[in-house]
Amino acid sequence: MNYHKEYYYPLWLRIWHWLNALLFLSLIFTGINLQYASVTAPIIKFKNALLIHNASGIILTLNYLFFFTLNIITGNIKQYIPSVKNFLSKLIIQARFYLSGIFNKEDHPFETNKNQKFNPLQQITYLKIMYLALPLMIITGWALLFPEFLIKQIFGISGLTLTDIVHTVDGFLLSIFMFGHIYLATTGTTVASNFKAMLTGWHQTETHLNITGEVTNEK
Amino acid sequence: MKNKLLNFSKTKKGKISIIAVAVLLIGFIFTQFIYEPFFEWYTGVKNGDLTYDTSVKLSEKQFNDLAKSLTYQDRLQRAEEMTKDEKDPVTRKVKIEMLMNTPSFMHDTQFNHIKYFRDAGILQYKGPETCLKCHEDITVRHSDGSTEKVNTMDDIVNSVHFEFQRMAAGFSTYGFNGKQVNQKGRAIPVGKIDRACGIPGSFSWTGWAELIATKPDSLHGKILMRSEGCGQCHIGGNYQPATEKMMPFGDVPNSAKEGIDCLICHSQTYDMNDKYVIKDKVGLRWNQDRSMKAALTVTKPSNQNCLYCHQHNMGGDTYSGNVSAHNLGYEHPRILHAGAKRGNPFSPEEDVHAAAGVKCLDCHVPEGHKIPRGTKGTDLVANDLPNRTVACENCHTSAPHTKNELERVILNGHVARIACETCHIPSLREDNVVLRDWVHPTYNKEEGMYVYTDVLKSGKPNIGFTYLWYNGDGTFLAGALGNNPNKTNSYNPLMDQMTSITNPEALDEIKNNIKNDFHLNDKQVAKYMLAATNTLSQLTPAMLEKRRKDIADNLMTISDHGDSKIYPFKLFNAYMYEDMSNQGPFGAMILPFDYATYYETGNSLEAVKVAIQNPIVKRMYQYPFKKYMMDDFMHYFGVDTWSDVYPIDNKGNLRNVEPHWMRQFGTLMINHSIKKEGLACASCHSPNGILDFKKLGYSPERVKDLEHLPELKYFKSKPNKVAEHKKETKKTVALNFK
Amino acid sequence: MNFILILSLIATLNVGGTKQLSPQNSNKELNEKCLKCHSLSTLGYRDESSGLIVNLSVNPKEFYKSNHKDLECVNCHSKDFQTFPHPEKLKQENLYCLDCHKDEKEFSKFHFKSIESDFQNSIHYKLLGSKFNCFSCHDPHSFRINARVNQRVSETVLYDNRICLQCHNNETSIYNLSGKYLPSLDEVHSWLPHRDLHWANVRCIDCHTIPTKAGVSHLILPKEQALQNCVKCHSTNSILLQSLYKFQSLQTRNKEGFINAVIFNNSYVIGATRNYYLNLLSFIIFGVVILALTFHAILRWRSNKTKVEDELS
Repeated sequence: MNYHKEYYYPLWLRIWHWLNALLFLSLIFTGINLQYASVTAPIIKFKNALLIHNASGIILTLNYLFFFTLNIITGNIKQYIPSVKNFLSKLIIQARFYLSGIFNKEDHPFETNKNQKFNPLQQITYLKIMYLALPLMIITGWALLFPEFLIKQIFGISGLTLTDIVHTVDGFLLSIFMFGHIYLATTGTTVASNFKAMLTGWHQTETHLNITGEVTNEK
Repeated sequence: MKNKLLNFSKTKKGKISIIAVAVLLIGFIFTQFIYEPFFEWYTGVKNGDLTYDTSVKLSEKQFNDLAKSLTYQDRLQRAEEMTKDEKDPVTRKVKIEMLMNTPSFMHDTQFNHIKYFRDAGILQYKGPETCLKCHEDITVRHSDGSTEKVNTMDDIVNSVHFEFQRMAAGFSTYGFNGKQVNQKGRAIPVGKIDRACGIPGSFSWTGWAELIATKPDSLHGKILMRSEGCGQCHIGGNYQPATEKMMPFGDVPNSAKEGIDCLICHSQTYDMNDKYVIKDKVGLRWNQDRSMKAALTVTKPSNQNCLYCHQHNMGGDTYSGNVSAHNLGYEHPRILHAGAKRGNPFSPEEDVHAAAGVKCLDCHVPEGHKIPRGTKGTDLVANDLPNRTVACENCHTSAPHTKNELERVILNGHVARIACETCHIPSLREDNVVLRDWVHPTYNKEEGMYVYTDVLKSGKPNIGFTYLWYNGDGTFLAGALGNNPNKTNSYNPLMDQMTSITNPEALDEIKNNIKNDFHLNDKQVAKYMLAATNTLSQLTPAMLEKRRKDIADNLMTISDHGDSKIYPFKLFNAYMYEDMSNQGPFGAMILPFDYATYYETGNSLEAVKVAIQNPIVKRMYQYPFKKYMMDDFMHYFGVDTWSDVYPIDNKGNLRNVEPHWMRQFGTLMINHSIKKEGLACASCHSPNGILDFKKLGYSPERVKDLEHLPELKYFKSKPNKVAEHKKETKKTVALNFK
Repeated sequence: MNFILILSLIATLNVGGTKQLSPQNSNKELNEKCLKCHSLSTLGYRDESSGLIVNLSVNPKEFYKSNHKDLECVNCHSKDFQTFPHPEKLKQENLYCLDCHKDEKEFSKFHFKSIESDFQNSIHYKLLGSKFNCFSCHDPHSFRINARVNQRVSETVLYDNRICLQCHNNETSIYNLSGKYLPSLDEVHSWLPHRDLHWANVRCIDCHTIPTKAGVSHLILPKEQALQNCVKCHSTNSILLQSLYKFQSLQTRNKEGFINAVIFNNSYVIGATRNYYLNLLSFIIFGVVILALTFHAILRWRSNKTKVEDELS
């Protein structure tokens, strides 16, 4: 087995990613503080938690817009669009790898390269996270920042309550995603290699040489 | 290079770029060179460079002499004041002389523009151009306390004083279809610009600036050319009103903007004798005072500035306190209109506020050049600041009566039901016109021309004006909306008070007037009286039914809005030619008169014919304008669609044109000529009181109670002149004259 | 309101003890005589000495919705008012709520005695003394206890806050009463996040009193002691449960559960109104995910170890 390094993650992407990670942690932490506010044992003061949560949310929005724009400009967005062909079966193959193959030291079923950084499971997850869950989070967050613009009542239920429930549930789902994301990041060539790649931009890939010595994972 | 361009033009990007450039270029050419001439050709509006002979360049000496003479009185007064302790008269005289010519003393006058002009070296006033040198922007203070910097020219050009129209919402009037004007749906230009009106008899397109040949007796057959038209009272100096502003895009040309008359509102020495119609190679327009004298005395508008024009619709042209009426013009003197529009002058003799030195702008607090007329209004006059209140309560509290300890409480209690004006305007001036017949003009020897015939003029309550419930809203044809607080359906003035004259005194006066003026036999008199005093008699049963239905379906709920109070309303109706193809249950499209034809020949029908040949009137009957404006206009009128049958047929004869009174009286708010002493209790609370409680929607028991209040004996009942006008028993007009 | 205020300012004379209640329901007819004039909303005059407008009007619609709707005017006011013009001495009439309310058994649940002592300890009374009395806040002609226990919290909030704002939103009326100008409400509440939202959903007294025995605390605190701690409300044991949501906590809350009661009241409080089921569900999901990941990690670690051993051997 050979390794070769490829430049996967440009600087803007790395900056966005780590800033995003930082904001996620801040938002989850302060969010929990707000949701489970208590008189007796506050981890941080409600007022401060609110301030940090709002500030982080606003920065997150800007960061998301940065990501969104550059994603389109650089064409990185293509990474997120799954190819329709055999998509479901590809998904199953990838899932099976995570559930059993990985323990038998099988190879990753879909090899990645500069142009195809995500496996099918990642593609579908990231697509939903980045273009559904996160925007929803941002929209509901802003709505809660300016509650006077919210619809007062939806089917007799306060629009504010409903928005907050969506915000909380979505926030919870994103937190769950984050745990999965961090864990799966350890399934690289080595436990730390994916983290290193995200820091340096250089991704370490296993390559298979065929008889002629050509690299096969190129299309 | 050339090849590169050629190649670029073949790529996709290149093609798009070329198309974009072409669109921009065409757009530029269209807006800059094609739209304006096209619009002028289509509507018949004219534009040209406006010059005024009154704008004269002074020498520096002339300037200084003028400045000295303008400040003479002020300097003299101050100098006399300062030297009043000097006993010796000769010494005092010398001191006064010295003081008056001391430079710093001279500069310290009320006319600060003398200094500004001198410093800037301005020796000629050239209109807005001169003002804008320093006042390009002004800071506007809004009612919420915020301030905003605006371009002065934009501010004034988009104000009602220039535009006389509004396309935005902000009208307190409702169409007979129940829709608030321009509130929802597509907005159309509404204001004085596009409505013929019964009092002036024409509208601003067809009667902007006219020259009339008159033959006054005093001149023994010689012709005197006289000026007439709406333009005399509007600040545009152009050949027509701001017609361009009616369109969804485009602006009045710069030449028109340069014609704006800043000084008529801002100068303390504006000479109304310079307001007369002049003729140049483009057409007729109004001259204005652009002298340095007027320019040097610029200040914030004083009452007199407002009243140069507005006394016309308050005290009237023939009111002795109307300053403009005494300065009719160095040439082509302006025609005075007898018969006051409201008959309630704002002057120290007639109005307690004017006497107390209250300024117009104290109540009508301006925001830049936008001046509020209050939130209430029955008419379609455009409103610059529809949300800014102008009301008695802004200064007087809800407890304004303070004097008599016993009466003050109940008088203050009345404020909840009775508007201040109801008691404090006990009467209007006698020449307040109620019924004006344009169809049958009479010859006035003194003026040497034919004039409309006012068949009823009165300042008395229940003849010249009446009392109605009012919540601040009005109908599309100036009808006050409101309801008795008991909210029953028994109050319906659009079928009752606003449609008939039943007062015997009024009926007698009309009858006498038409007998004298028109030489009619009894049968003709009866017919005339019926239409004039029972306006609904002009409607077919089907129309009458639709009217009832429209009122019930569309206007009753609006009448129930808010808290109504009883207000006084000046009554008005006019006998005019109407386009019967565009008739609804509340009236038909009034047709304007050509002033020259009307005044000179007295042939009213011919005057209509001439006026409606004005290109823009023709365009109203054609496709784009029909869709753009007139259909929507008619919806508010209670009619489904605007009929484009032009009232002149191919042979040049009028068609579907008939003389009619509007199907109800106009009811116009009266707010000035406030008297200190209000009506006494018994003026209303007596069987012959001026308020008809039954018609105002009270139940018979309540009427009895209100007319015979037992508590009344405790109040000092002042004998009051107005209470003496007895309200007589009701006889229907029809019975009386059949 | 001011009318009564002025009356009590002028006089110390106490006209009557407990008034006899009229047994009949035909009070409307009798009251009509008074309301003929007193229903005019602008009935009043400007008091010579204070310069304030004394409002003498009673809104009949409000009155017949109020708790006192069954009373005749002269049950509380002097019978001498039935003559017109009213005798001059009646200007001195002084009324006090507890004349009726103190001893009656049927009012015991309202804890009027507690209200009286709360009031006497309140900042208003301490600063203004007899210038401030029941009628300074409460108009007996429109007072409705049911506005306090309304199904819709927003209406209760509106009703209650209007009482405070009739003075506190009007600098002249504060000045006339206390002789000083207070800083604007906007200014002193600028620290409060989402100020307007709070104002629309929480009553002034929720932060400016401490709950007492009375249904609504009358112990208005000095401004330094007002609540500024977010978590007092934004937590599951929110003090709002003892005050604003008291009624819900007693009735609706038991019936439909607190969350529903609050949700349908259109008043959502961060931290205080969590959805129990969502909470539980999230804990379960979170636990399962962590367990699954740990399990997966252990398996990976073990298989890795065997693989490495294989390769080594």
